[in-house]
Amino acid sequence: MSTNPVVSPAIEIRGLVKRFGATVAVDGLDLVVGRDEIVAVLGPNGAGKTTTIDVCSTLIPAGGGTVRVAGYDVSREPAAVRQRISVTGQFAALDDELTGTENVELFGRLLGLGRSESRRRASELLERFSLADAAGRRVKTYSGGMRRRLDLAVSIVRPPEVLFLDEPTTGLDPRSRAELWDIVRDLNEDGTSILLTTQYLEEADRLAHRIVVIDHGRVVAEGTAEALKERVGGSVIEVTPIDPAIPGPVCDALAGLGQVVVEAETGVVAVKVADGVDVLAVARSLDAAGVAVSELGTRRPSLDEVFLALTGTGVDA
Amino acid sequence: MSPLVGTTALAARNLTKMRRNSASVIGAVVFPILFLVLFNTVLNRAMTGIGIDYVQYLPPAVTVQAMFFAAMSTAFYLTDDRASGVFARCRTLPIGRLSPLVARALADLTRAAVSLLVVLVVSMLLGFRFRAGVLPALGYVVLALGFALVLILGCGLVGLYAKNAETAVVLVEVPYLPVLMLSSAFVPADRFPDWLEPVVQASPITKVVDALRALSGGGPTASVLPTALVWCIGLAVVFLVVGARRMKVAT
Repeated sequence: MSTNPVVSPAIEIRGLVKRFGATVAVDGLDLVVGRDEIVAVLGPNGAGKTTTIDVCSTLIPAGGGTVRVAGYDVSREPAAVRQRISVTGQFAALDDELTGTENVELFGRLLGLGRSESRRRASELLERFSLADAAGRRVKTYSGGMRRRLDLAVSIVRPPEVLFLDEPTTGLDPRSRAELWDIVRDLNEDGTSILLTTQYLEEADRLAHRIVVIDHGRVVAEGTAEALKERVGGSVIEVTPIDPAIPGPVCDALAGLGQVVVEAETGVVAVKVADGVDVLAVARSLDAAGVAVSELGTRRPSLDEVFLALTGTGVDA
Repeated sequence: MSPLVGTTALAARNLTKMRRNSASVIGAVVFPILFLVLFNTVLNRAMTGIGIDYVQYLPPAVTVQAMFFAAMSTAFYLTDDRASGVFARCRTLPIGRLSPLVARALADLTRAAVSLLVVLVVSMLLGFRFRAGVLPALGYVVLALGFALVLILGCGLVGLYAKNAETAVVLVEVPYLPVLMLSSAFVPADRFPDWLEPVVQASPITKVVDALRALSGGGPTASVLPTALVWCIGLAVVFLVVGARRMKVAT
């Protein structure tokens, strides 16, 4: 191998293809994750996110294309790849009948740590992930957030060069999600490159340096959250009626600009417009129609709107 | 790192899980005792009536049954590990590809050994004796555990295919009963209906139970032991070949 593993990207996927029978799960995917980067792979169910992680983590063979992780080819040097990665799957892969400590210790032993070293590492990680109080309890008594934290602790018993997180916060409450994000950021700051898949646009926006949107096994867009918003273009004019319970007049006044959407909770009326629309003209037309508003402004489209524009489906579709 | 460390760490973890699961403990220890005591109490007189030394006849049957129970645990726990993701996670670790499977087999073989010890101790309390001497007695233990290993391989195969632990248990429990009943384990082959007797005679379970009886009771082993061994080796090879193919894609 001519590649120098030290300077090679954390993950380098070129033209990855993977079929399951007649189903094409991944269809010519290209993706590069640089060292020390957090990249979020965003896509609807069935877009090929988990399959991509399965190939990268040497679980299943690629059907075509090349995949290098930490500088090593996953099909030719899987053992070298496994030395350098950790995977946290969609469902916390833990032993319910074992305690938190025992779970971490087991993987310490599997990764070649001695008995006492495994124990020391387990107590250190459980402390760091706020699980020290529950260390001696069986995992079946843990909450969803605790399980996810323990799962991550297991993943970094030996700090990996590359960490795969497959929908790490699916099913978590907002507080547990925020806690997990902090942990992921810390890991990244300690030098771990991270590829995470998610269905949560907010997660991608908040956590990742770069977002790769995939659909039907292909990359449909790539860039920072800002760049993606830029790419889809346009902006959104938002108007808050003086009485949010009566959005009707505002809707009528804005109807000429495009499709009008009323946010059910707040009563804010939003309409997506092309770049360069004169906001003052909008204000004047509202005034001319005799509609009183308490707030008027423009914003970039949200990632949700970007995603919809790129894939033609909602994330949860 | 030596692949042994990973395998033994996983095997120890498997044993811990079994120890903490009361169903596993009951299956490994209580069931064999119940079978020995109940069958001996209920059937001893009837079987003596047809000329069978039941205290000597029953233990090899319960031995084979206990080996079945140990192997069923393989199917259950292996599927459970696949369903929970632990199996997949192990496959992304720098440990031997076969370590999780070898660890599973080691743990269940240990469980089989514990069950065998229980069966033999209780049997001896009931009056069972190794009449053929020390070497055949050792042969009994080796054949019993060897047969357990064959069953573990077969049930491991089920564990690699089944979608969840419940399915796996059904897939091994359903064949278990007819396979065990249609053998000489509990009733001599010549006591079956005429049309069934050839089936019973041909059964590998019959061969193994007959060999265990010869090794414990002192009958001629030359006529039964080789057939039992050929069956065990043949089945093991089939299970291993199919299992190796499945391992390439199983997650």
